[in-house]
Amino acid sequence: MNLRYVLSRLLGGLLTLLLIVTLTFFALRLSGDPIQVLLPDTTPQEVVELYRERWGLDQPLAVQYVKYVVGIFHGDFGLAFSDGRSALQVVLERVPATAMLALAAIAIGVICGIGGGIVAALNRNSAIDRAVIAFAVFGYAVPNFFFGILLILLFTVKLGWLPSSGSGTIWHLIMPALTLGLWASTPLARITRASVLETLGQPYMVTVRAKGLPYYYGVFRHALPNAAIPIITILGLNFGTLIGGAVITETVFAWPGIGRLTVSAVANRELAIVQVIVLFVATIMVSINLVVDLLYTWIDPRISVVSGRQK
Amino acid sequence: MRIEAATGIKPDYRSRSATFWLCTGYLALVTSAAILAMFIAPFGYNDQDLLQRLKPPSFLGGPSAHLLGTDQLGRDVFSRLLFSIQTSLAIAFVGTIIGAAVGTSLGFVAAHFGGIMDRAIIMLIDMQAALPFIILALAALAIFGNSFIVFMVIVGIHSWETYARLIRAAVLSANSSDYVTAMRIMGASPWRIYIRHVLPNVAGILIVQITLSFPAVILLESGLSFVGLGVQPPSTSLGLMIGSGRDLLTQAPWLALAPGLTIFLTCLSVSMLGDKLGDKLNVTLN
Amino acid sequence: MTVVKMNFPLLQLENVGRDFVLSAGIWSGKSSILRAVHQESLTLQRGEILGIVGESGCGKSTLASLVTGVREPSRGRIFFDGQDITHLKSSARRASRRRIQIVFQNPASALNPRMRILTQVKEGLIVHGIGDPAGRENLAREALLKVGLADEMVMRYPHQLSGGQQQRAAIARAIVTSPELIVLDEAVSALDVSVKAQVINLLKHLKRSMGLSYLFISHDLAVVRQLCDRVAVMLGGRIVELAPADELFREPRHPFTRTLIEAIPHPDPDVPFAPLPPVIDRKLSAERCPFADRCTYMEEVCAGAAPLLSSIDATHQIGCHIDPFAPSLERAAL
Repeated sequence: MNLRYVLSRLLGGLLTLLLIVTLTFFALRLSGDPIQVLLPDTTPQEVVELYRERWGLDQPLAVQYVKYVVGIFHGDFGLAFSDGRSALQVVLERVPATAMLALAAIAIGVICGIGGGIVAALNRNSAIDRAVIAFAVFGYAVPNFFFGILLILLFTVKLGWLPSSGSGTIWHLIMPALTLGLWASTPLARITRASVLETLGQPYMVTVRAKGLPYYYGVFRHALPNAAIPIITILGLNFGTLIGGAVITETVFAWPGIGRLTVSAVANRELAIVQVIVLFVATIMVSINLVVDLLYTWIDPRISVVSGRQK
Repeated sequence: MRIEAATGIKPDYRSRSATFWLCTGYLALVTSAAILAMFIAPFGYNDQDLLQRLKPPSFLGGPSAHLLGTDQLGRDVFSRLLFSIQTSLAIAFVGTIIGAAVGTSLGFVAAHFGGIMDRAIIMLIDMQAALPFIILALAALAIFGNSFIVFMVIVGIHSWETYARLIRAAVLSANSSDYVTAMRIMGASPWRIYIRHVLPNVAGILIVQITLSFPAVILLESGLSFVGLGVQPPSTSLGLMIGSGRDLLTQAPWLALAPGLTIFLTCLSVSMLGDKLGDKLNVTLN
Repeated sequence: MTVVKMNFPLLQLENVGRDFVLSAGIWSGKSSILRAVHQESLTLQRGEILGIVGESGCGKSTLASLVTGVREPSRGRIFFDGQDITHLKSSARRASRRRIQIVFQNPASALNPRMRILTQVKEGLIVHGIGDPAGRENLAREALLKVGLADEMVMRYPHQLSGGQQQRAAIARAIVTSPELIVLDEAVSALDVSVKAQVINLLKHLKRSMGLSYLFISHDLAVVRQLCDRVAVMLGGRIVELAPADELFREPRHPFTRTLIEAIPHPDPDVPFAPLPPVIDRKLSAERCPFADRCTYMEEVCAGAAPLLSSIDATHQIGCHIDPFAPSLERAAL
């Protein structure tokens, strides 16, 4: 039953990816001669001929489509304009920087968001609670690039503690990770607070207290696990926001990751690179959604039964 | 007075109404600034005065002619801010309307026709949810190139899927409600049912969602303009101003601070008013 | 002209049935058919109140939706006043729609929450192009007055009325177009006991003064006994007994009807009946008697085929192979 559920989710994810690949294919064909948009002008004629044949550009659209999909499974996306290297390679080179930034940001986001939300809920109506609420409301309205600029003004211009841009040392990571992490933590804080508050009011929590068990035992044993579902949903959704935010944040701090690559690729209309990035991000998002779905069933055994649609 | 005495929520009551008036007042101010920009602005937004470069705001000791100082080309920041507000608000306004219209129509179509049409739209919604919008927007900009129209449409379809999902669910639930069934038995045409009976019942959801996505559209527009892929010079927008101010943070922090604060306060006001509106509509709905 | 019309029954169902396809999921491809109403025939005379009773899920609400045209039957034909309305489309249907109206169980959801009561009652008049704006206003106020909603109530929104008042407004909306048949789908089931009695009296009064006929669908036998002329008992999508109300309650012949009636003197009329097995057909048992699994009188024949509805006298029909409660003389003769 559970395997069946996993398989159907997996199939759904693959279908989404295929749909995105298909859309990319048609968008590329719409935009003109794929040779021109996917290969640099300086490509030698024999390489152009090689690609023309590999993509089947003289053949019917259906054949081109199949070749395109097959090509993508072989990592064949076209070449980067700047140096004629494989577009996939150019993107993959940037992955570590973005992964490092994203991990640091998630760590900050989870600690501040979930931690802040729990602390706020456990101390309802206290000063801490109000601070967390204000933080969540303000966080929604501050553009993350502006927040980054405020950090630069404080830590670089005023205090002179941190470098304003670039990468290489741990000091370079601090401000981009803070910008992205705090920005991503605001919806987490709001949902966590609401979710924990709701479980705290449940009858089983009253029972825990009536039995004379320590309050925090009840909180950690009963309330938090039950509050986890909506938090995980938001965490999963947040990943998309995080990737979107990385585009901007990396530009603010000149962080050499995928986000900054995207901006320059779009500015130079390097479609080969852009399509790699789109598919890359889509794959990550689909995988994360899958993991989140599976986490649900792990956390809440009731869900697999409902979603399994067994007769 | 009597209400306060009876309910004992005096401070809350007061502060709420104060927040409400502050937000409304600020939005009125910003909107009229946007509409009247060309009359209020003391300078043209591209008037350069190379002798007056990077002057601080007048309240920080700068020249009295330039309320918010000048930028690296000696252009008046206050005037540029007014025209930027005009551009950014116009894009956000039109963009929000496009998104609401597209999403609402698709939601209605999915709920009305059901079957294959419904499945197809749900699939599109799922796909959109699987991709961060900004990536999609960037890809579209790369493919179609950046013209003002393309940019407007891209910013506009932002959050269409939220509208589509909400409206689809609301229409489905309204459609299965007894009062719509009663109207159908009465022989009312689908158009009449949708316009007279379903739309008013989903309007609340729609309005609240609009107040939620308006700030998001402003943030998207300014974000794209900030990285240089949105509004292009010589036009100006809030994001563009921050983007060009970023390089001069050390010498002239006001270049980025003025537009940044404007965006922040605008988004804050709209979303706080939206929250209140949501509460209010829910109360009357029950 | 009315004399000619009187020859037809007001409503006649001929072998009407309705199936629903239940799909088990997108990936499985399997689907099963739920036979909500099998193949039932029923006649309702002008001026009559015909009750339809049964457990929840027995098909009575599906039957109501077929009569009102919300759903189309999968088979069979429906006649209204002699005219075949089974598959009538929009404009042709509209005329008959004015003449068949419905009142639902839950008055709160049956009224549009964002429209004043008066406006909602006027809607039907506008749809059917009856009268000018001033005339509609008068007709609507008149209908509201008939159900006992006075002037100051009619400008209110539904949530400003009590449950009983809401149900009166729903009735006003149904009668404003001067219909001939009103389907009352559990129309008093959700009301408090005292309010229920008032609404029943109102329905009786309206029937007399406006010459209405009711199809009264309910699981509440006490109310059915009080209000209906004839009663059809439904079980598993089939009518299993049909008789004049007093006869049915005095001498129920079908074992299921007997079970139902024995359950009446319960202090709470809304207490659910014994749980019903799922109505989804399984291949082996598709045609068995719908009561076979719970009937104490069950014999082998019941597991094989569902009995047809057959007359036991001029006005009384039952669908039972065994007929265990037949008067002893007849049983002896057999």
